[in-house]
Amino acid sequence: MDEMDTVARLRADLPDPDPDVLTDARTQLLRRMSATPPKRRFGWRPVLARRLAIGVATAAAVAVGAGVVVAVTDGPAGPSHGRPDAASPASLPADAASALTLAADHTTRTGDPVVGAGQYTHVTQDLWQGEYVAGVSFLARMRMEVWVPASSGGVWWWRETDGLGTRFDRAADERKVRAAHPDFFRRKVSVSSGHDGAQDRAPAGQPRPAGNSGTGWAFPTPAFLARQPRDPKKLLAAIEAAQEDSSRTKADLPTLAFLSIAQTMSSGFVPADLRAALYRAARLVPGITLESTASDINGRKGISIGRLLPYGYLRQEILFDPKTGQFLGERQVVVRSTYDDAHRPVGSAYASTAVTVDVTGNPHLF
Amino acid sequence: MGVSEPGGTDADLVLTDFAALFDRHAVAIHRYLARRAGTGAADDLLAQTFLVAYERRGSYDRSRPDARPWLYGIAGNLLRRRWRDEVRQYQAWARTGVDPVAADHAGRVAEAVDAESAAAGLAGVLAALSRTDREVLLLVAWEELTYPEVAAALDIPIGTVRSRLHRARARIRAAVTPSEGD
Repeated sequence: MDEMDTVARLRADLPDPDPDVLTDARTQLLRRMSATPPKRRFGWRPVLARRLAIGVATAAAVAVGAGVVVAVTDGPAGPSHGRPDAASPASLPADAASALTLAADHTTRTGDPVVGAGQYTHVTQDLWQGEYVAGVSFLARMRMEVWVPASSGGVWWWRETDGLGTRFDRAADERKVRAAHPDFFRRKVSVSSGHDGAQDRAPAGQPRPAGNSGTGWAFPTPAFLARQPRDPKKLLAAIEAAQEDSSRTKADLPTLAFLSIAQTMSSGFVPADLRAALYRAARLVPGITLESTASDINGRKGISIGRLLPYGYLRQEILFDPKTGQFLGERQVVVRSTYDDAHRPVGSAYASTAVTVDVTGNPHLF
Repeated sequence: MGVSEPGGTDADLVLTDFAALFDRHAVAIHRYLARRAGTGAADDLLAQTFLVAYERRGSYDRSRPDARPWLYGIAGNLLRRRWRDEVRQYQAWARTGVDPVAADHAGRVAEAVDAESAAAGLAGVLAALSRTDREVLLLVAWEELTYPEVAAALDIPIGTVRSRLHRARARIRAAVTPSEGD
């Protein structure tokens, strides 16, 4: 018997955990799972991957900055970069319910940008995600874009750009991650195309029927959104009914619905009447709070409405412009420490998605 | 473990069915936590380990079919805050001959006292090891992780695993064979 066997025998006969302990830990996990929307990198990405059956043009790394000349039109909902969008203090709402009502009213009034024949609604999601690599907790940036054609039969385009930037708490942290995982600092671009919100070609170049079987609140298509009720109560009920996680509890459903609303708005191509209804449906979710009337997401300021997620670690927020009702993005803010080196600091965003929408021509990505 | 079981590899479960990942590994993770810090601490930290893992699932290395090293690494991070308690328990064991962790269970005090005195001596050595050397030693001796698995769990190079383990084993050897003592 060598010294390792001797060590191995220490405390070797501890009993298995109490079943109640296992059950309790599992329940906590399920509650957490039911409260989390698919992360963005679990969003389009796996859907695309599934539909692509791995690859297609995804592997075709496009040159950095290759590009698309974006012709921004000045539609009613307009381009959103750099708008001086703070409302006058007198008009700022005092609570979550009135803020959401205001957003809904503005949205109805403002309507949708005009997307002419042959044009595209171009949605950009600018994401910062908490990462933990080589013992270092930091934020990494990526961008996901989709071009939705004006005509229902038109070609959809997607582009995902990884490695757009990082934020470290300390320079030494960055050096450590650079040494261990240089991949985080390399820009990678993948592009793909499809129809009806779905990829329509197989890797081998064989035709693959287009379809939107994977559609739903997490991955909406225009056709799916068109079918949804506009009455806020019915809409909220439909969203709650669509939550499929078997681990949900009845008490979690409103939170799940709030997350679905955040994610659906982030898709960027929800029609104005449904956007207004979604704001009004969010108003019906218990426990929502007005977090700030001047929250900043990627340099744009707006109102943030939050809902504490089950288990109390993260707060889901949606952000919108109080002047126009325009959806600015969503984020998850760390509310309570997990006592874990890897977690982001309390009060900081664990993940954020800034959404901008404009109208372009065909990007012809490949 | 966890590689060829029905239901897919751990890498699949991380993405598709995290609850099944829990079912697959919770007992082993709890056992490791309990051996390190006592049953009470393990009861607290088990859920925490999987919650942290769930939140970090996006950064799971999909090329690794077995999630155990990843889970042990997270559990180890959480234990780090309790390392002083852990050391105090080894010290108490060495001093009194009673393992406080084993004695934690009702009716097990006698068994804990009956434990061979060599065990108490070993506990003293464990208490004296550096935190990092002890962690490598216990992942290999208790959890039977391979060098690459330990390297993955702790995010350190394999060479570092080897040198830490070498150091720890030398200290243990010296303790169990006093004539070669240092």
